Amino acid sequence: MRLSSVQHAEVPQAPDGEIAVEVSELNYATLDRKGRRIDILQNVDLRVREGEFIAIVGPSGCGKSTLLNIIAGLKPYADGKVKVLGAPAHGIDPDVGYMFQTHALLPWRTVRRNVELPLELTGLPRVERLHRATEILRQMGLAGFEDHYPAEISGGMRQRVSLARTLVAGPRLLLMDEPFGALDAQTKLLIQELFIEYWERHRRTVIFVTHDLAEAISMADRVLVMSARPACFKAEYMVGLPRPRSLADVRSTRQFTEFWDRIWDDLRQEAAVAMMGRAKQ
Amino acid sequence: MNAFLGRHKISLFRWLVLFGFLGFWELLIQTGTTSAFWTSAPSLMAERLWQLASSGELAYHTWITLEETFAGLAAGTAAGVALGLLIGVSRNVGAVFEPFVIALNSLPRVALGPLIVMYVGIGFASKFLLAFSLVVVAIMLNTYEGIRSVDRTLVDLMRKMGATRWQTFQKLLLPNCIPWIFSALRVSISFAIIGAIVGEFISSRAGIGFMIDTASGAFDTTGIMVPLFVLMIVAFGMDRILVHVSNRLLRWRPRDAE
Repeated sequence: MRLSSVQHAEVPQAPDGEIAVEVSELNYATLDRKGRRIDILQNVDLRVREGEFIAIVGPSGCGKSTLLNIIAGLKPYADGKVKVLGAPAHGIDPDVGYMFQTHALLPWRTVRRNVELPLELTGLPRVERLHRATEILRQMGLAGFEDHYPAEISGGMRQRVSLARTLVAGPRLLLMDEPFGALDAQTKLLIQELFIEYWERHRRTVIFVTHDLAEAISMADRVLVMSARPACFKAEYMVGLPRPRSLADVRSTRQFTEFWDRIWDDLRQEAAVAMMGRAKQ
Repeated sequence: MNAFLGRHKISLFRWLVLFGFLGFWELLIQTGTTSAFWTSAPSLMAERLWQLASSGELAYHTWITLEETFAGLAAGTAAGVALGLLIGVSRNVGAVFEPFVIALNSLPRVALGPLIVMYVGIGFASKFLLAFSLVVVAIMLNTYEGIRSVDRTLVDLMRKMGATRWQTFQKLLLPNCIPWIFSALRVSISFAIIGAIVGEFISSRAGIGFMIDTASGAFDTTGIMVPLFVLMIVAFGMDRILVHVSNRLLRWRPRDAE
């Protein structure tokens, strides 16, 4: 792994030693239709401190989602070590929250009942569920929409409901797989601001997969660049921008532009490799 | 007046179509263009309807047919949902039974009539079974489809939230089937009536089908038309009620899906 030396010193960090996620020497491969082995992840190492916000960028189809699935404990892996919140990754864990690119709301449930779903699964009493769902919906700016069905609200609101559902159980670790990737530019900015404000107050550990460089740099403490398949981490950038951050202001700073250029330099080679690879198939 | 016309234009034209049709029919008979022996006439039918209704005969026969229909519909729906869920939830069971179910579905069930009568006789049971056999497969196939059509992302989501298999079934798969079951119920109303009537045609002592069959033997066109008319009204009413109930229950669906 090539480490960037930019601005190591000023990174706001949780105390050392509290490691939330630890992945070491992870290899993962699947078989294609003809039974040939395809290496997806090769020698992946990752350490995320408790309360740290990391972003993973990489060419599309490189295995970012696979890595998240493995950390979520939903994909068995043969080779390597994965520890999540002090235990081997094991699937069912209310301390881990997951969010997708699609809102994945149940259409027959109202906004509030969708948000209550994770609490229902752990058997929380009704009154408590109602209380917590109402509170998180208020924080996501959705007060007054509790009894609407997903079909009745806008795409940006649905994604906010989805975010509320991810956050409602108060998970210590958030795994986010391009959560705002399907939104239009303005809606995306608004929901990013909402989320970063929430995060700066609560400081959960976040692993945030995205292909939007600006999103990665403006929100995360650390940006990791993944290579084309078989994927490993190719570079790492400590983003030393001060917090609390105003996303709009951050984007106009000189450091932001510098990071953007450098990360894109790394990424473009990988993206080109990935694109050519796909063309050959 | 204009505003009133605007709002009620559709229903106004509906009544116009209805009365225009009945009037034209009556006119053909009154002017002697067609013979009432072949086509009956609205006036004749109204008169007969009144007779049959006031003697209580109509209610009796209608009730018999409705009993057969409802029993077949209820039992067929219950069994269909249960079987559909069973073959839908277990991938293996589903894969094994799918071709048999499709084959069974392509068999015209009314052709089973004589066999059923041979087994259970000409009473209530034969009509019930015929209606049941028509309903059960339709409901089962749609329930099965309802399970299979579930959005994979949602299944994935349930797993990621740590749902047990039972929770996934209860909170995701089952609700996902409801619209499918309702749309199958709508066709099943007609299926159940078909089953009951065909059963009565084959052999019976009462019911709407019996009335039609008896009148047909006597070349009594009006006697055929009146029970047919009643049957149509009953089926139409049941369909309206079902649509109303399903709109209430499925109000979460996007409006344009209606």
